[in-house]
Amino acid sequence: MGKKKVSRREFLKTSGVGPAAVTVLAPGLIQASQSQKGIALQRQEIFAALGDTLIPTDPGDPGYKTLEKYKITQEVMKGLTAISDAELEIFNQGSSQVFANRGFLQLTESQRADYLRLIIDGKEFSDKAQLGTLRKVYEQTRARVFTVFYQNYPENVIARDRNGIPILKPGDKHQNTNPNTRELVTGWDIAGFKGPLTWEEEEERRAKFKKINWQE
Amino acid sequence: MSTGKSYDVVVVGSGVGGSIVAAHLAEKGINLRTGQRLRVAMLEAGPYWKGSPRPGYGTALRRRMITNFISDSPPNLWPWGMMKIVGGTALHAGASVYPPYDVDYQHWVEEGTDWTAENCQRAEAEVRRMYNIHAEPDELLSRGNLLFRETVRKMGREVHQALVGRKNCLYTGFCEGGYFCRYDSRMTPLTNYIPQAENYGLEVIPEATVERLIIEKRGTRKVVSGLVFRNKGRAVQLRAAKIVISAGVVGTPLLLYRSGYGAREDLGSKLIVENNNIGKHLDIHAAVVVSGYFDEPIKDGARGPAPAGFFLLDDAGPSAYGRLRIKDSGMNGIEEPWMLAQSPQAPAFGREHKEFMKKARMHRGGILVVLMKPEGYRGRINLRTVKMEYEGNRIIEQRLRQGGELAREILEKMGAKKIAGYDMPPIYHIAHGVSTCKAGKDPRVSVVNEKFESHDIENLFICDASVLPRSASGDAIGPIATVAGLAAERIVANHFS
Repeated sequence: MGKKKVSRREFLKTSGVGPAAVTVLAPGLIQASQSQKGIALQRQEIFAALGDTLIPTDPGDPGYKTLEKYKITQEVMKGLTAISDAELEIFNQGSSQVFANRGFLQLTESQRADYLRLIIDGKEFSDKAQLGTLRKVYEQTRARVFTVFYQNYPENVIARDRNGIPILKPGDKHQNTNPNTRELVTGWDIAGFKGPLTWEEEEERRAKFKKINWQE
Repeated sequence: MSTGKSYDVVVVGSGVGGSIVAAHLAEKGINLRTGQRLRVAMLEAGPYWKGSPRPGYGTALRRRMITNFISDSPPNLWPWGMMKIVGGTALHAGASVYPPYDVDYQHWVEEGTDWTAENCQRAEAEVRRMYNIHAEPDELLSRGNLLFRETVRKMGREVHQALVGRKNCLYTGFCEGGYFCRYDSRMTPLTNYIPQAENYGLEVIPEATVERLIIEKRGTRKVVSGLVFRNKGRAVQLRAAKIVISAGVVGTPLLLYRSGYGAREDLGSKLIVENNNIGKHLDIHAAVVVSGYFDEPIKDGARGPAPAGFFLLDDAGPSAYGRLRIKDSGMNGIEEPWMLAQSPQAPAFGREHKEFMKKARMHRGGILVVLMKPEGYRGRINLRTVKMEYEGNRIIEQRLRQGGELAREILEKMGAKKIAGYDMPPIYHIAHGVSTCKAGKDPRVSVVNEKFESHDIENLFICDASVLPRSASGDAIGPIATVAGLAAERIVANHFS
């Protein structure tokens, strides 16, 4: 579609979603046209809102939104290219039929959670094609958000030098490279997962198991 | 193409099968013409992380490589998921090792070999010693392991203790997130066979991907005389008096296929030597995973013991017909958070899900149900697409459904809630696959004879999972190692002593 402006109808038609998708959109909410930039921005807003609904953030209890300053939604979106803009728009507008013509982005936090519950339940959506799209967006986003967040983003990558060699902490002779820090609460911290042990932690375990099951 | 050295024997593949055969040939084989020790080379497509690993500590280089292996691994993966590395990755995760059971030997004999318990006795004893095979004391097991044992006994079933092949384990569970142990506690050929073999002159050639065998026609005979491998983009030709292929259940038939040795239907005009069994007869372990949630913690902490514990065997008839192994594999160790987050016990999303994540790592437990003896069906490796083709049949599905129900009953009696997975379709995976270059007396239904010699090509031997005529009652590593020991004995006795 390049950079030219296209109508929503043209967009849906060329993206293969077609009439089934158009029927589920509340006519009053469909804008005549939208720039690619606008679509991209809205795409990011929808995934960010979904991430926040899936892993909420509360005072003293960091969650998905806490990591927005580390661009977690951009990382999440890298794995969601199978969801088309048209499908995401169906998801966004699907809430309008149960929440007084309000799209997903216009819902409150609790309404967004209710909307996801309705998608899981399915009874509110009689159109099978629509329900299939809503579930695809929900399920794929859920899997991706949980994967990125609980794989310890943004402390999931080991720092490396120009040659790709992991950078060790000063004085570390034991090659203990664990990207997790205490500076930020990540998915690992929430789940109580520590990653590779330090040398000192290893030594403690050696001392313990030497008394039980050791052969040297 | 450059020409490399000439060897008495070249072994292709440095996993369990290749390493054991190469080590024995290097140590015990004699060139009958010269009376000298054999010149043996072992080729491996992956890198050689050399060192003198000390179980429980590891080495500097290996620790760094293994710690970072997951992010570094894609270039070293075969398309079918196994890794390319000197020492292989057959002994993965928690290092389960089971020598063949009596019934496994019996099945191999029924399939046309003489691989009896008696004939394999020496090799099996060596595997038990070299792999430090043992069960672990109760004090290393989790509450979940012990509860499983107690529950199964109360149900009137016999409980077996799981066996592992490791030494000086720190029980960090690190190996569950990847294939390797960064502390070198898990026994692999890299620690138990290759260093000794190098002392006897074994030459390890890493990063050598073998492209094809050189098969010559001498009258009506077909003879293998060498191979071509690629190293850093350069093609190299090696000459060898004998070649042993140990590239695994997929790699071995694939190499034979690339060399023009296989079924006419696969090779067409590229056929040099015909054998319709190459890539066929694939026997695997099919599985279902049943899991549940416990109100009380069943694991030992953030990083508890890696898999050991207990299992029961369930046969549907005499001679281990439809044998199931039902094991408490998910009652200890750790679970990576991203997997836990998507487990069937996890709430859909929101604050409830987050609370689950804060405590579930010690509360979620699982039972692995594996059909060790699938009946009435064999799959194949599609050698053109390099894909496993395995559809299963109704007997397999029904047995796994029965196993899933039994696992659900055990979990219920253990006090688990939200039990899931018992009614899921079977998982078919190549990990324990065998028999794609099946051994047997009859050339019409096999590729090598019981001496591991190709039925069709002189000087060519095969020794790895691909020759095992049928799946075993335990994980594949013990049977592969045992049969490799037997192969080494026979190749030395018949050709090099």
